[in-house]
Amino acid sequence: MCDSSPPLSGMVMKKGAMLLCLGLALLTTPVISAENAAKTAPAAGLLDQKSGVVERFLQRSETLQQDKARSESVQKEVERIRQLHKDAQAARQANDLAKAQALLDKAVSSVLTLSRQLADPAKQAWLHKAHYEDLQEGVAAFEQSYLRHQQATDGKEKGSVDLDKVHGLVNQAKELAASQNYEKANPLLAQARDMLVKGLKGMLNAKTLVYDLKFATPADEYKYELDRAASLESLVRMALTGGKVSGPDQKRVMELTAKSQEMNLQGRSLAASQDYKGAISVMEKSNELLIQALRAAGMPVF
Amino acid sequence: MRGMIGLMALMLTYSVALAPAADPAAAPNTVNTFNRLMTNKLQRNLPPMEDGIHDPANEGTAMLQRPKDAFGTMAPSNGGNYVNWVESLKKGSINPRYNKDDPTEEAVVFDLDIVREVKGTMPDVVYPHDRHTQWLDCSNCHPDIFIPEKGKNQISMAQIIMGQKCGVCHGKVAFPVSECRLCHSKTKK
Repeated sequence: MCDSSPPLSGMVMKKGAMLLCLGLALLTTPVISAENAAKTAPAAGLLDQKSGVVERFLQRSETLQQDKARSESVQKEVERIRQLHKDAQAARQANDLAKAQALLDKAVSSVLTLSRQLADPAKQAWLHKAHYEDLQEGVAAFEQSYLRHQQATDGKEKGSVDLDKVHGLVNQAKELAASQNYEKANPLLAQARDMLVKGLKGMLNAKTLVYDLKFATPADEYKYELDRAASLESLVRMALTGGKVSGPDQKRVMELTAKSQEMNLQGRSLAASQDYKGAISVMEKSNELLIQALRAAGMPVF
Repeated sequence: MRGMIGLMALMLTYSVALAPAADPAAAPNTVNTFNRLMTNKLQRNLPPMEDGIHDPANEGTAMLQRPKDAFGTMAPSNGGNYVNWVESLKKGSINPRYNKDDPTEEAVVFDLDIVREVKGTMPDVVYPHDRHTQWLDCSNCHPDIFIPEKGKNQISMAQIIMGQKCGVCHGKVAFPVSECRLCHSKTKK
């Protein structure tokens, strides 16, 4: 996923970035709609939280000023945030909580924008690269999906996408990525992905796709039953580890599970001798016993 | 960076290796500890400092809004965190930003149902894209969680309870698997 210099593995960093995004989203997203906001005064706790975000930023910004030469526009923005915060405090003192909240929302929004601008460039570069890789995977997956659905309808369905343009955007993005300019490459890939999604939407909107249980071969169906058995066995273990199954029920669960496992072995043996139809039949019965075990353990299988 | 709610869910993907089925009772007793919407009712919607999800040592955690304050105005539900999120969105009780960088961007709602037939007595599963895409961007799920192709995704209830596939969100921030009928909703012919 990433071969440059992130301090942690790709997945962990991704989650870290997501956590950051979550925090930002929670802080910027109004919890109640504007319509409802007019009806209900903002809670003091929420105002405290927003005010806290702004105060912490302002404190940090003073430290940053000592470390870095700051551009005039950043300085101006910090001053604007400081003023919004002061005005919000004044509005709060005057008991105009709605006004205080509106001012704090503006301040928090600016804090987040500015925080991004002042973020660690190395981390930003890594995030752009990770996003580039995600976008690449997305474009490839959606293009395959688009082509499959178009083929299935002989191209009669709406939603035609200019694939040459998509490929052009992808190639441009690749060139930019080759010179490490992921920040500029990403909007191009996002545009390509959005074109494909729009095309898929044109073909599939207001439709129902059925993923049926028609198996290509008995071996495939046997594999499905094996997977099902593994899932059901896991569910039985989970039910028992919950600690809510009484002694007699637990005994019944264990009996059913043991019987099921005997049949499971029979099924595997039949499959080993290429008798897939026989194996499927036995596995279905084995799995039914596991479902009975789940019911005995109190799981809602109907 | 679209579909922030989906990203919330992705933070908490875990996998736990399961022992062979020989002794069901010997399995680890931690399988549901992160499946927070299936915990005891009293342990749901705890303040961020106490919920076992957020880091209580992080000063930012104390600034997060408490779920009980946030959920007060929303449409109620009997399961999970007691919020009917779809209804809350429909009613306008919440108005999540689709793109954190662009307050004007609107969701690309995709009205496509996927019916997934299942063996056994349980009704088939219906996956409605429309109510998911009101919150999420396509890229939140495709292709990392679900490859957009029939037959390419093995999905089981065990995986979901373990926080994979649908369980990336359901059981954490969306209704839990105890609400069987919400997904197993298509009666077999």
